[in-house]
Amino acid sequence: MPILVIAFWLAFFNLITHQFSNITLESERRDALFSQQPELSFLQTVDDNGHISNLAQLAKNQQKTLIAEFIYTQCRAICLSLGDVFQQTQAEIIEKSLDKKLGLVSISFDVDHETPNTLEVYRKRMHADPNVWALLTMKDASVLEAARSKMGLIVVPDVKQGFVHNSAFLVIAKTGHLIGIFDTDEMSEAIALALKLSH
Amino acid sequence: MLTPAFSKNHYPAYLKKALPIFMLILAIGLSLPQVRHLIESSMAVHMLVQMPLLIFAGYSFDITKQKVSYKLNTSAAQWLWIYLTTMFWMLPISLDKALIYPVWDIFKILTLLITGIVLKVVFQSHRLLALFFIGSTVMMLFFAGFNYQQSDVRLCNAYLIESQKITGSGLIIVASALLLFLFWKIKQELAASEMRG
Repeated sequence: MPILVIAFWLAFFNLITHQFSNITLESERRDALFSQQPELSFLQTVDDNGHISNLAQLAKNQQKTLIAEFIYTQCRAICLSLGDVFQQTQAEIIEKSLDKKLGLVSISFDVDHETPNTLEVYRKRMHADPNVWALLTMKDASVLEAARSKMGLIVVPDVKQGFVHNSAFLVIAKTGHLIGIFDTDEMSEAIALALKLSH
Repeated sequence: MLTPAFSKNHYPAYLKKALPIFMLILAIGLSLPQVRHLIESSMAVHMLVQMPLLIFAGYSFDITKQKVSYKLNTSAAQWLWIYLTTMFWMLPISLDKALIYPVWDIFKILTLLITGIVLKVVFQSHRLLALFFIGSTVMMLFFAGFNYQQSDVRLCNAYLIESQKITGSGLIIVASALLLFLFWKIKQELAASEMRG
């Protein structure tokens, strides 16, 4: 009887944690994305000039490896520090003349409020160089839904009319495939992977 | 015939019969689409209301007079069940998946109901051993509560960090209450054994 109980729970622990490798859904999401490396053409976007494109196309057109983050421009919390990291990275890219190899992309998921105009305001505020740092918003709610289901993007409305969301840096290869996800304190690792790929 | 540890003999019989069914409806009701947003938006409602309700509902079902309980009466197995079930539903990934996948939600309802039933059987068999079993589970509640309270990272994708911290504190309070209950129970058992001895 004790053996049966142990076997039962061992089986279910094994099942829910994927062979004891993930105890949070976020780490499972990243593992799954690492193994799938999906092409990001479903992520249709509008940039601050109003041009419609998609993430995969953007990477192919520019022939750059992209580092992307999800934000919304009205954010007063985590996106501010994400923006800081991107500003520093932009400075680093320009300083080391990496702008032919590496690009930055901020993608807003606030489909109801974000417009090319709000993106332009954000560009001015962040001093984002158009050659390095692209600002995009998702084309419509169905894109956000696709990002939720295919990439495990989590966006939870919070009490102050804002959002709480999972924050990470995505590395997107020139082919338009997602090839890595890094924590917000792992920007240097993300850059290292991106540079390795662009050779 | 041993009387159950928390028998409510002074309640009318119909209330005694209705109580587990009422708790069961309340607990399962929280998983239904109409009110599901309650457990989806608050980790505390999920962990500190729905899960205890399921255990209480299982506990208050009067199956111990029936033959089933004799088959269940293997103390190591009972303890392992309670311990492992608690551990399983303390994992952040289990909470998230119970919200996303109905299959895991049903699994949660079933296993926690069984835990309640097993808990009752435990209380009616070897008392001192039962206290040890509960004690080890209480330690795990402390550990999980402390982790949720102190973590600055959102462990569940579905819940906000404030909700996570509140739940952590709640778990610590529940564990403290159980610990006090445990001490009181041990004192009572010792007094009773002195009376006999």
